[in-house]
Order: sequence, then C-alpha cells, then structure tokens
Amino acid sequence: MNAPSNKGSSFYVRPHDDWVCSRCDSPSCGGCGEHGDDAEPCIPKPSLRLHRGVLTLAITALTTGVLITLLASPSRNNLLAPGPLTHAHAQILASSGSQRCDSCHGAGDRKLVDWMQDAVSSGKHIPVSQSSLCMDCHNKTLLQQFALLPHNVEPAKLAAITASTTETKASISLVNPANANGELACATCHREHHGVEFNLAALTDRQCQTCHTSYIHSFEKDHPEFTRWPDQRNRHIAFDHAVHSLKHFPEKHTNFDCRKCHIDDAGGNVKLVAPFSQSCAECHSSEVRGPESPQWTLLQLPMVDTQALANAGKSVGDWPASCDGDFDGLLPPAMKLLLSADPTIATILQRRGEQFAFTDLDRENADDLDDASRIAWGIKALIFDLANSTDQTLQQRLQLAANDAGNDAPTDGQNSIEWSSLAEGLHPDMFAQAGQLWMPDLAKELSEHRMSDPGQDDGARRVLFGRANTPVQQDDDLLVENPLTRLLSGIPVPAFPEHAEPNDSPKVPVVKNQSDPNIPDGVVTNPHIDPVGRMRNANPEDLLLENPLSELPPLAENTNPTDVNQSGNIRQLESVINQTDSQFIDRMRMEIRQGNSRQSLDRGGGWTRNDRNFAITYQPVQHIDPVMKAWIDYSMVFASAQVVQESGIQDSFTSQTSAGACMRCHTSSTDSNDNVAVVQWSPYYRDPNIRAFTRFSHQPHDSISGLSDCQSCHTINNHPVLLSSSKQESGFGDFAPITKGTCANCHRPGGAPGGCIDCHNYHVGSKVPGK
Amino acid sequence: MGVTLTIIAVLAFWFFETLQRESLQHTAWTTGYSLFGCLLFLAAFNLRKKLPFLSASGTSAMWMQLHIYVAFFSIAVFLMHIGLAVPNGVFEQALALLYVTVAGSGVYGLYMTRTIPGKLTATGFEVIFEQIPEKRRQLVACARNLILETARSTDVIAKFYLHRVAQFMERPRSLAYNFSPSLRTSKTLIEEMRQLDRYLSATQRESSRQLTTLVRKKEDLDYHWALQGRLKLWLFVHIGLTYGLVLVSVLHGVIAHAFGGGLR
Repeated sequence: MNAPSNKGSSFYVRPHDDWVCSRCDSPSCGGCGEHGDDAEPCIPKPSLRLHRGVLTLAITALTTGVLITLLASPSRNNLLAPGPLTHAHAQILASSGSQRCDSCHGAGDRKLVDWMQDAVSSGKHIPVSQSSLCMDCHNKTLLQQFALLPHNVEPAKLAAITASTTETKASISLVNPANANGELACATCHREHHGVEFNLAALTDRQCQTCHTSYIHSFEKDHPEFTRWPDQRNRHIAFDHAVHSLKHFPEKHTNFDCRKCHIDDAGGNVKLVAPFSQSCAECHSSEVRGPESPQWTLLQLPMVDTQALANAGKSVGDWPASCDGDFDGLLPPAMKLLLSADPTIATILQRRGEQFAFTDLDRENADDLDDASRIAWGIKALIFDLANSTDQTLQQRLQLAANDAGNDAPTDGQNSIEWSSLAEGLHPDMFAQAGQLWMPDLAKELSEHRMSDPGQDDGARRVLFGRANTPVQQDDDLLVENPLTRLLSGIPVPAFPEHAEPNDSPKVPVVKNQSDPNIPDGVVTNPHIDPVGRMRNANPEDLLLENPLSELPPLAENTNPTDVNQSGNIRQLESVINQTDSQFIDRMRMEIRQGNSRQSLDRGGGWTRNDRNFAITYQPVQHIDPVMKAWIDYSMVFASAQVVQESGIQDSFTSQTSAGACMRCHTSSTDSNDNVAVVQWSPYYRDPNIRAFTRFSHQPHDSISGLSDCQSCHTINNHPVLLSSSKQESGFGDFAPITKGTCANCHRPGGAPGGCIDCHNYHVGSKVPGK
Repeated sequence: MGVTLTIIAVLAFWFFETLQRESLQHTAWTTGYSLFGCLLFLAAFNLRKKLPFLSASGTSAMWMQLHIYVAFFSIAVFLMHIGLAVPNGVFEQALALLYVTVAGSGVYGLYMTRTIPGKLTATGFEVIFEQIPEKRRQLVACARNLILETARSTDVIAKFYLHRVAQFMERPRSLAYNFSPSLRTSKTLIEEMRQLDRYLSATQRESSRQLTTLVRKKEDLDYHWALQGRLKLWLFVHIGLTYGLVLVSVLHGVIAHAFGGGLR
C-alpha cells in the first residue's frame, strides 16, 4: 500500500493526519468546497492519532511528575526498596526508620544526581562499598582481613590447599566472580530484599563449583573419600576405646555403653564427654588424686659433702645432718628451674647437662666443689625467698629462668598460665618451717654469705626476687625481719627489707608439733595451716595471747619424722571455702557440689613437707588439679626454652608414674599461630572463634532407628593397638575410619540431602585475629 | 523463520543466564540491560518512518515483524529478570505492572490484527474506520428519504421506522455491542419488517426491502466500527504507556547501579 504523491487527487485516506473535517469526520475530506459552496467553513477537529499522541504525552508527563514526587518524598527509600529484608536484618534496622538504607548502602542518603553520576562513573562516585558496610556489623563473626577472600582463607594458604588437590575435570563456568584482588563481594552469595523468610545463606552445589573446578554431580559418586574422618583430629582425651571395650570393661563385667561417657550438648549436635566423675573416676580416681597417687617434688635437698666444701673454703653453713655426706641426689626438675633464675646456677646446670646429679661431683675437684657450693647457697636462697613470698618467688623465678634463656613465649601463652595456682594452697610458712628445721640460721647465713661473696651479686636477681642475696650494710639502722619469724605472729609475711642487719636477726624458736587424733602417728602438723596450706587464724591478737606453735611437740621429740601431711576432711575444706574466695576455692566448691572430689579429699593430698628426705612435695587433691595444671601449662608454654627442656620437667608430668597422671589422658596440641603447645584440659573444646569447614550434627541422625547404636558409624577396631606417644600425635587407631560410603548409604540421590552446604561451611577459619 | 530464530534466541539467552546464575554472577545486570535494550528498540518503532536510513532499509511489514519478535524475546527476558516471581518492592511492582500492561496490550493487539481482518472481510465490504461516521450519516439520510417517499402512500413504514428502526439507524450502538458485536438487533428488525409486509402493497414492500438493506448496511458499519475500534484502541494503551515505562526503567537502572552490592 503505497501512499500517493498527490493527496487531493487520491482515493487513499490518510488516517494518520492530526486533524479531520468536523463535518464529515473524514481525513479524506477535500475541504470546505466539498460540502457545497454555501456551507459554512468547518472547524477541523483532532484525529484519533492526535488524541493518542496527547494521551501519550500526558501519561509520560504524569509518570515524570510521579517519579519526581516519589524521589522528593520522605518515604523515598521505603518506596524504592526492592523488597522486604530478611527477619534478622529487618529487626536490627527497625529503629533506623527511613534511614535504614544508609546502613547497608552508601547511596542510601544520596540524591538522584549522585545516583546518576555513580551509574555513569561505574560505581566510583559513591566510594563506600556495600561489602565494607556489611563488615561494620559482621566484623565480630568474620576476620576483616580475610572476610572478602574465598572461604576467608588467606591467599597463600588457599593456594597451597588448591595445589594439594588433584582436581582435573573442569566444569563449564563463566568468569570467576572475584575481582582482581581475589575478593568476593558479600552480595555475590547473599542476596537481600527477597522477603522475611528468604534464606540468605542458600547456595546451590553448582554455585560452589563456580570456583571448585572438579565437578561433583552427587555426594555419592564424586565426593572425595574421607581421609580418616573424624579421627584425623587430635583428641583431647587419650582414651583407647578398643582396649577399654575389649579388655577393661569385660574384665569388670561392665557393659561398654557409649552413652555413659558421651552426652549430648544443649542442641544435640555434639556428643560431649561426660565429667570425670561420671566417666572415669570409678576406675581411675586413685591414680589421679589422693594419697595413693604419686607425689610431685617441688624442692628437695641433695646430699652435700659439707666437710669437703668447708675444707675448700666454700662452707655452705647449716645443712641438715641427714643430707650431709658424699655428694648424692638428683635435683627435682621444678627446683632446677627455680634455681636457674640465678644466671650463675643456670650456667652451671646448663654446663652439667640434663642428667646432672650430685653424685657426679668429685670432692677432690675444685670446680665441682665450687659448683656444689653455689647450688647449695642457691637452694638456701630459694627457700628463703619462698618463705618470704611463695607466689611471687615462683612466678618471678620461673619467668626469669625461661626468659633468660632467650625464650620469648607468646603473651597469649603466658596468659594461659594461672601463675597464682603454681603455689595454690602452698603457704610461705611451709618454707619458713622448713628453713627453721633444716637451716635454723638461714637468714643470718645468707646475709653473711653475701658479704663474703659480693661477686655473686646480680642486679636483676636482686630486684626481682633475691633479697636474701642482697649485701648487708653494717651501718644501716633498719632491722632485718626474718620471714621465718612470722610463724610466731601469725600475720602475713612482709617483704624482706632491702638492707638487713644480720646480727639483729631474731633467733627463731623451733616449731613444735601439735597432737591431733586425726593425724597419724609421726605426722607433724601446723595448727595455723589449714588442710590446703593456708593460715587458719586471721586474728593476730589471739595469736599474741597464745602461741599455738608452742603447743607443738618439739621436732627433736619427733622420733619418727615423716610427712607433714596437711590432709583434712570435707568439713575442714568447706570451712576454708567459707573464709576465702579465690579461684581455687571456687573450683573446689564446684567440685564439692558435683561430688567429684569428696572421695579424694577425704583421702587427703596437697602440699607436704617431708622431713625425712627434706623435700616439699605435692599430691593432687582433685581431678584437673589447679597446681598440677599450672605447672604443666608452664612447662608447655616455655617448652622451647633450653632451661625448661634440660630441667626435665615435662618428663615429670608425662611419665607413667607422674603425679596425677594428667598427661596420660590429656593430650597436647600445638597452636598453629604461635607454635606453643597447649594441654587439652577440656575433654571437648571447640573454639567458638574458629569455624570448621565440615560440620556434623548427631541430633538428626540419633532419631533414625538404624543409627541408634553409635557403633553403626563409629566402628571400634577389633585389633587394638595400645596407646603410644606416636599415636597421640597422629590420631588414634581404635576406630575404623568412617568412609564416604557410611554416609552415602542415606545421602544419595532420592535419599537424604547431599548438597555441599549440608555438611560444609563456606565461611571457615578464625573470627578474630591471631586465632 | 522469524519465530524459530526468536525461540533459538530465547533458549540461548536462557542458557547463558542460567550459566551466569550458577556461576554466582548477578544475572540481573545481563537481563536488565538486555531488557532495557529491547525496550528502547521497541519504543523506537515509530522512529522508523522518521529516520530516512531506517525507512529505506526495509518494508514496514518487515519492521513490524521485527518489532513482534523482539517483543516476544523481551517478554522471555523479563520473566528471567524477575525470576518468575512477583517483585517484592512497590517501585518494582509498579514497573513490572507497566511492562506487563504494555507487553500485554501488544500481544492483544497482535492477536487482534491477526483475527479481525478475516472477520471484516467476511462482511463483504471494506470501509475505512475514519469514514464510518460519514457512511452512517449517509445511511440515515437515505433511510429518511425513503421513509418520506413511502409516507405518501402509507404511514405504516414511517411509523415502524420511527418506533423501531430509527433508534438503530440514527444512534450509536451500546458499549456491550462494541465489546461483543452481534446481529441480534438487526435480525429482529428485519424479521419484524418481514412480518410487516402483509400490511403493505407491492410498491410499499419494495420500500420495505430497501429499508431492510439499509438496516443490514448499518449493521455492517457498526460491526466494522466495533472491530476496527479495537484495532485503534489497544494502541492507546500500548503506545500511551510506552514512554512512561521507559522513564521508570531508566530510574530503576540508576537505582540498581547506585544500590547494587559490590566491591567497587
């Protein structure tokens, strides 16, 4: 249909003309003459096309007006929002009103002009990215440094993991959504404004494979086989299920029921280990605590040939006659460490090596005699310092010993040591008594020794702990106060004066024994010391009226010297609890409530001064004994220090006859960040700041009848291998590994779900720096 | 050919969009820009006649077919863009409603242009929509002349015309008729006129038959008016909302850029 060139002579009607004749309504009207010469001129009227054009223009103008009104409205953001937020976000931002868009969008508080400039400038006009705004709130759950990196793993680590895989088969995928820095925006996966119930974390398997190039059609077919899941983890408790189920339990005619020791957590997700009292105490209580458990030695006098030393001009003053003879005896590891705070002794011990014993010393050798003398004086100074302030002395000497050896233990590691527990229940009076009994003139001798041998002075030692080593100035008016005299007054032992006058040191009376029907014959006790070694009486006036020590039988009358065992019963302990509120007591209170330690406390334990072999020893009083824990933690944190290694203190905790047998069950692991070994005191601990890649919840599996027996998945090996240190390091072989097939029995197409995020977390690793 | 190509294009785009979505890409950008491009192309259909290089590059029918294919392609892209779900936001719902109205009117118009011509051809005559009012006036004038002539011999036909036919001949049809045209009224009138014949002479019957013919012509004109009116009216919706849709789409794109999550 071609339009003619001459409108007037054509039959063709042009319906697209804007105006038509008002008489005939026809756009083909030839004009007024067509209706007769006499007719009045018509007034053309708009055609349909013109009407349509006007309507279009009107709607367009109306739309523009509506949009302008909308953009100027205070409800702009609400009206422009693409949809409701998820419940969590909506709840958090509810109080923000119309400004809530600003919380997540840099453009939220901008004008249309800014938006347009931003669109034209490819997002550079509004510099605040949405992901950075996300992190304003989510920095508590994601480590900001790696938050936008795939899986929140640092690139080098991720590259190493990727390189270690054998993925070869690539799937069809477009460009990686990450930017040039390898970062992914939060909104790559988390798409908001899809409604209250929308699952922001939903992710399809196919989306996971945007980056994971090995194509996995289904868990059953393509998922890699498990690598000793879940046994590759280092267990906190070295419990050999095979040996117990096949040997120990049958021997005791006891049913090996997994649920007796493994209990559900609050959510039913994790099978926790039941408390010691419920799971292990029935058989292992006596090994862990009480009088039947081995003792751990803090301090012990060696046999010293005082005559040989005196002949060589290196007299060590008073030394117990029972310890006077040919050089003999080993130095306890803890005492080695405490002595090593003195650089001179540290050098001696280092030179003589880990296996050093006083037996090695030759009374004819001048160097050996010199070393023996210095060690003996060091032991005296140590006792004096411990009598002065036990807590401070232990902490300062142990820190000094380890740090002097060039060990820079991480602050976190040092903080994990409960320093105050090193001497939990150990009162300075125990050392004061020991000093009184073993070396009556200790204070005076030490002062005189410093006078005669000023070359041993060391500024650092003096400042930190070695007041006993401080040279005495004769013209000083200050009177020395021997901490050993505190036994008389019953008040706390003050700091030893900086400058002491040896001649004014009061003579300390001999401590007498107190008869007690509850104490076995031959045991010497101190009425001022409670069962855990604390001062009983807090009222010094009462003590002034009556010296309780005077009621004690003289030590000389103690014809059968033996342990000064500070045992007590549960009532005595509770009375102590009522008087103090230390962490130890809190813990003990908890133990009492749980009934865990009643049996052991009735049996005794704690610090003991042994006057037979001149030692201060300790027997754990409870499971997870705070004293043993503190010393073991110290040995682990400073394990790399040469002094600690050569002291052999770790061996004292790991041997089969170690006190408390702590390390026989509690494994250790090395913190990957600061390379410090830590003991797994908790039977189950999952760091809330660490998110694992794989998660598993027992709860939905427990409800399946076929899986009600734990051993349907956790099959115990029929050929157990006894525990060994190598097994502790590499995991345990008492369970057959759980294979993929175990899970694939149910998690297969048409069965239970088997998607990536059903078992795996995307955000993994640490939530806080340094973890 | 065109339909096949359109289907292939839709399938290819759907595959690409799926691949993007499964690759953690924001497919909204792809579908959004594609949709906006289609929208501009469709809205510019009218420019074909105003841009010489376009008008010379093909026939009007070819451009119309292209318009239709791209429109159907854009509908598919639109469905991908909204994820086959009603948008949640007020603004986006309004935008979607605008698009659905424009696209829906287009589909309706296409259906009309494919079905109505056949129906009109069946009437046996052609008439231009804009000329229908004039034709109606001419029919009315003819009818009145005829009645005046018959009134000289009898007033039966004149009375019948005044009471029964005049309303049909001289007044516009009802809205219901324009929505759903039917021959019921005209058939009734013709039947009544046939029954009137027994009261008329032979000459008068001839006049009655002429009146019957005029009634039939009026019925045909009304039928053309109703059907051709539809062909005109859907464009009021289709074109009237198009530029508003473009405006709202532009704002939607600007907002998407400003508020879109990303790393920048």
